[in-house]
Formats: sequence, C-alpha cells, structure tokens
Amino acid sequence: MRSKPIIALILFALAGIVVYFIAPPGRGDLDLDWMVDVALIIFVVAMLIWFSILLTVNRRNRLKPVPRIQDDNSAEALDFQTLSMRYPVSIFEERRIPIEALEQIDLPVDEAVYLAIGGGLGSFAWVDYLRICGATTDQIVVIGPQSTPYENYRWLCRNSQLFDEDRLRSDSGSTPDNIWGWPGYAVREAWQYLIQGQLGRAAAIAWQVFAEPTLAETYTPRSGDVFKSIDLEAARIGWETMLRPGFAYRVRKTDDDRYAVLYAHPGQRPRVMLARYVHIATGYSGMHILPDLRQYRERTGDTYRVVQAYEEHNHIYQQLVDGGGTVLIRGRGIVASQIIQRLYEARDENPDIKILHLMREPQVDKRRMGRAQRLIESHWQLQPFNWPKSAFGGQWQARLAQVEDSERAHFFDMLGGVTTANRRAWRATTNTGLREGWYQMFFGSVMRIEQENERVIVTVGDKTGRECAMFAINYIIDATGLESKLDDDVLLGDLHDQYALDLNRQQRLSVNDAFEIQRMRNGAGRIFAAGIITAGGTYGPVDSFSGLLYAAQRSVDSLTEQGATDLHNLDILHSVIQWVRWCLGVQP
Amino acid sequence: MTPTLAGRWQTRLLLLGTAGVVITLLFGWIFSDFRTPLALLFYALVLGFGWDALYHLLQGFRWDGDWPPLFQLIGCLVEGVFLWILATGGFLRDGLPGISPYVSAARFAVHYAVVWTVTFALLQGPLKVIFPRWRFRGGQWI
Repeated sequence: MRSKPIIALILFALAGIVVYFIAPPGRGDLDLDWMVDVALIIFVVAMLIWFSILLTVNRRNRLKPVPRIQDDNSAEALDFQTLSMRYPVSIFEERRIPIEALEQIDLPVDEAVYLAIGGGLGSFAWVDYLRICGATTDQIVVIGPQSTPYENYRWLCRNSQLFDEDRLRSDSGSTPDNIWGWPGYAVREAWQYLIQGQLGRAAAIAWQVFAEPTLAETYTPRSGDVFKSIDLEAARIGWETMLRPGFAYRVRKTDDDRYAVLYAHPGQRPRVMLARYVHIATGYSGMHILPDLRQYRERTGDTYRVVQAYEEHNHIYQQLVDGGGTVLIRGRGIVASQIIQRLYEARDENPDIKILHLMREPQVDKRRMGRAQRLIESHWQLQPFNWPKSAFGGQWQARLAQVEDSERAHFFDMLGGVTTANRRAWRATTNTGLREGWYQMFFGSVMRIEQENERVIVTVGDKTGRECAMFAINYIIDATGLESKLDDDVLLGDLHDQYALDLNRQQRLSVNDAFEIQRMRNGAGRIFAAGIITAGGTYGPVDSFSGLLYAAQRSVDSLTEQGATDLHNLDILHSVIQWVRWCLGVQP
Repeated sequence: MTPTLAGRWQTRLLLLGTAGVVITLLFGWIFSDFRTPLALLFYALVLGFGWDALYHLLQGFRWDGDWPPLFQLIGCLVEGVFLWILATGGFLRDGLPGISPYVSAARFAVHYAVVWTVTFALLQGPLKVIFPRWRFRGGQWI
C-alpha cells in the first residue's frame, strides 16, 4: 500500500521529463507551448517538494509511542490539611523559603531548571516548545496527575459523548503536537486517504479547507487522530522521562531566585521540586453545576437522574433506549449539541425519546461587532470555533490586545460567550426535531425541582417570577460546562492568598503579554501560566489548542530573551531544522 | 491564520519579493526580456497594496474576520484581469511604463499564474515553518 504514492510520484516526474523532451524548449523560441512546459516543470517541482514533505511526515507516523506509565495507585489525593498533619510541610506556610531550611526538613528534594505543573495539554505545549528551543529532558520536569497529556481531556470528551471517531471543534492548524501548525490535521487526513487510494475523500477534505467556511463546512479533526499525534510527539520529546505523577500543593519563592514546589503522589510521601522557571497550567478546577441542580442533588442525593454532561452518564442513554423517556437539557453550547446528537442517535433504536431544552431566554438578537454579525438559528448562536477565527491570530486578536480594560469585557461578551459549531447535520437535527416535536425549546427559569417516584418534576417560572409550566421528566443533563474559579483550585487559591496576585476582570490570573505572573517574579526566577486559568486577559481564546500553543510561544520566547539555560531563539534556520526533525520523527 | 492589514502588506511584500522575483527572473530569461515581467511584478505588488486595503474592508463584514483560500483565488483572478488591462492600455491610452507593447496575454497569464500558485502554496504551509510567529501575528513577519 505504501509504495503506491512513490510509484505515483515517479510516474508524475517521468511524465514531466517526457513532456520536456518531446517539446524541447529552444532558447528564444517564444511560442506558448514552451511557456506551458516551463509552467508545468515549475508546477511539477513544487508538487514534488510538497509530496516529499508529506512522505517524510508519513515516516513520522511509524514512530512507536512509548508504553504508558502504569499507575496502579488507587489512593485518593490528600487535601493540604491532612497532608500537613502527616508530614513536615509547615515550612510551606512561609512566603519565602530559605534554601538551607529545605535541606533540614525530612522530605526528598529534587531539582530541575524548567518545571511544568499540570501535566495536561497546556504543560505539553510549553514543554514541547522548550524542547524544540534546546532544553533537554533532564532539565525539565512535569508534575501532573495524568499519564498522558490528554487523559483528562479525553475523559471529558467521552463523557460528553464525543468519542475518538468524532470531530473536535478545532481548526486544522491548531496542532498540539506541532508548534508550527503545519502540516495541519486536514492535510494529514487527506494524505492518509490518498495513500489508501480513497481519492474522493481526500479531495473532499482538500475542498473543505479551500472553501471553508463559506462554501464548505469548516474542517475539524477527529479527536482520535489528535490524541494519536500527541502520543507520537510525546514519544519524540521524551514526555515520560520528564513526568512525575502527582499533585502540586504549594509553590513558594526561595531565597536563591528559584521556586520550591510541594507535590505528592497519592498514597506516597510528599516531595519538593526546585526550579527556576515554572509554568502553571492546571486547567479547570471542576464541573459547573447549576445552583438549582446542585441543591437538588444535595437534598435528594439523586445523581442518577440529574447529571452533569461531563460526568459519566451512559446509563441514561441505555435506559432511554430500553424504555424511552424525556430528557431535559440545560445549556446551549457545544456540549449541549453533542448530547442532542447522541440522543438523536438513540432515537433510531427507540423513537419514544423526547428532548426538552430549557433556556433562560430566547436568542434572537444577533451579536454585532463593527460591520460583522454572528449567525443565529433556532436560538443557537453559531460559530465555527469557540472564538471568531481572527481572535486566534488576526484582526480581533490585535483589537483585543489594544483595547482598554474597561472595553475588554464587552469584547469578551460579544466575541466569546456561549456558541456552538455551525454543522449542517446538527442544524438539520434541531430543525427536524422541532418540526416533529420530539425536540422542544422552553424559555424560563427553574423555580423548583422535586423528586417523585421515577421522575423529576421541574417547575419553571417566567420573567416576572410567576410559575408558568411544570414538567415531569426522566433525566436532567446539565451541559453548562466546567468550573474555573481560582479559589476552588488548591494550588492557585493558596498562591493568590499568599502573594496577593493580581486578578483580571474575570477574576482569573492576571498575566502579562508573555503569560508571566509578574507578582511571582523572584530575581531571575519566573512563573508563567496558560489555559483557562488566565482567561480574561489580552488574548481571548486561551482555552484552546491554539491558545496553548500561543502562550507557550510567548513565554518560551521571553525566557530565551532573558537568556534562560540552554535555550536558543527559534530563528528561521533553527525553526526549519527543528521542523525537519519533527517530520522525520527524531528527537529535537 | 487570518490576516490584519499590516500582515497582508508584509506577507505580499515578502512573497513577491522572494519567490515572485525568482520566478519572474526565470520568465525574463525565457522571454529574453527581463524588463516587462519585472515591471509587471512591481505593478502587481503596488496595486496589491491597494487591493489588500479593499480586502481588509470586506473582511470586516465577516464575523470570523477570516479570508478563506477560495477568496484568495477569486482575488487573484480579479487582480490579474485588472492588472492586464491597466498594464496594456485598457484604461490609459499607452499602458503602464516599462511594459513592452509586444507582451502577449498568454505570456502574462502563464507568468502570473505560476507566481500566484507558488506563493499560494508557500502561504498554506512553508511560511509557518520559516516564521513560527507569523500566524499568531496576523501575517506580520517584521
């Protein structure tokens, strides 16, 4: 199978040579044939370059991912209070730790130059960039609870009914495994189809990226492909050798321009890691559950019928297929769309499934920014990605970086906010459901939720607070997303208290343009942050693959400027060399 | 990547100033006339700065603030036709200075198409590798 493209290439090149010799170009001969030949030759050369690049990228796919660290430890992570009762960690109550004092406590102390806390995709992007800029595996340590950078992400995806063959809401060029964004997932997928001889599917993807989003639906990669690509890059940069499984509890400045991080693997003795440059990307602190649903669950203990979309809740689909029923959905984002799609599929097996979508108010007014406006259909706000494309890099990104703080809130409200992907299949499902009546929308706010036998009774009020409807349903799925309050996070809550960190308008970490937490500067020591914990600043889509890559680039570039250990600037030459190494699948 | 106006200008300058010049010199050698192809490239660049401003304006009507490859292709065709008419005297009586009166539409079309195809191909990928910060800066590389 693999020899096919090579044969095709050789034939292609031979055809070019034959054309060249059949119609030999003579100097001064200015007829059109001659020019077409030259154009053809240039075209053939350009195509050869493109194809050989793709062939080398293909070689990369033969890399074997390193087997994962088997973590058999089922112990729960301790909270800090319990930890401090069992182990001598009182020194971490201080804001500045003398380095000698650390030697006297009875805890193992290790050292690194670069330390990433979180171990997810944010850490991965930063470490990948560091490795590509020259840092070695023995200089970098990653502390996090996940065995792969995407473990938590994939778990959330699967619970919210997005499986490996389903497509994420992410751009082709947002490649967590490749800091350059090229070749993107579209090119790689098309190439895979091409070598399998599926020309039609390859051409369809090519057309998609060419004409999206105007004449074709925006291309988005399959989540399984993204995870596989991350596995390969993790193997290439030696992720496993840098990973120390565990939770970070405390970050403290030391008196030698470094930071001491207290961390522990569940069930084991805590350890201390010293580093000069620290990166924090701990992500969301938990799931967001609407207050009325939270109260209901606390009151009744019913987490079977009332679930959060990111919780494991496959039993609902199983029960619905077996016996039918009505599901109430809250939230109007991408997760709600995904859940509706799943329920739509379940209806194939049992048409007696109904969906009731409860929203606080109708969505009819289009959001406007300047001369542009956002698409709305059936009360869904539609947009290819979670931010307009140019907020990732382009017009909106530039504007957002320039506006005053007071104006930024308006930008976030208008450009960010809750939207779902503009997919033909989803829009068709919504419209069919509305027409056939198995999908209904209702506007109002929840006044009461009560448990009654096998059902949940929801009483809804109108704008004036008067009861206006009552529904007896089987299940409630809360698709309002994840929680990212700073104070709920063990590490960040403490950091905020101890060092009086500045927060932005959204009450998240305030970072400068290099994604550095400036208050945490310690001589030459620096702490950076990335991801949702920095949302609300000068860059909008921080909580996206692209945003994590951007944050990594900005922070590592600032480290390079500062002359951090063994880093070199990613100039044209280094960039090209490193990219070729990426293609070949050899370590940076 | 979606461009800002400064990004459009810088990227156009970069692509036409490098790949554009190399390809044009090649065609100059084939045509035994360097002056006309180079002049055409120069006009494509200068007029392009104006076209970019127009595209930028139109882009403002798009919620995503993007400029899909399809639009680039349409832009290429419009720009090409306009340049040809202007250069050969469709608008002015004598055409633009530096353009040989014997230049043929076929030659122009092949030259223009090759320059566009190669720069388009560079734009879709290789440029991101050469300038890793380019895509996050709205197309600015300076």
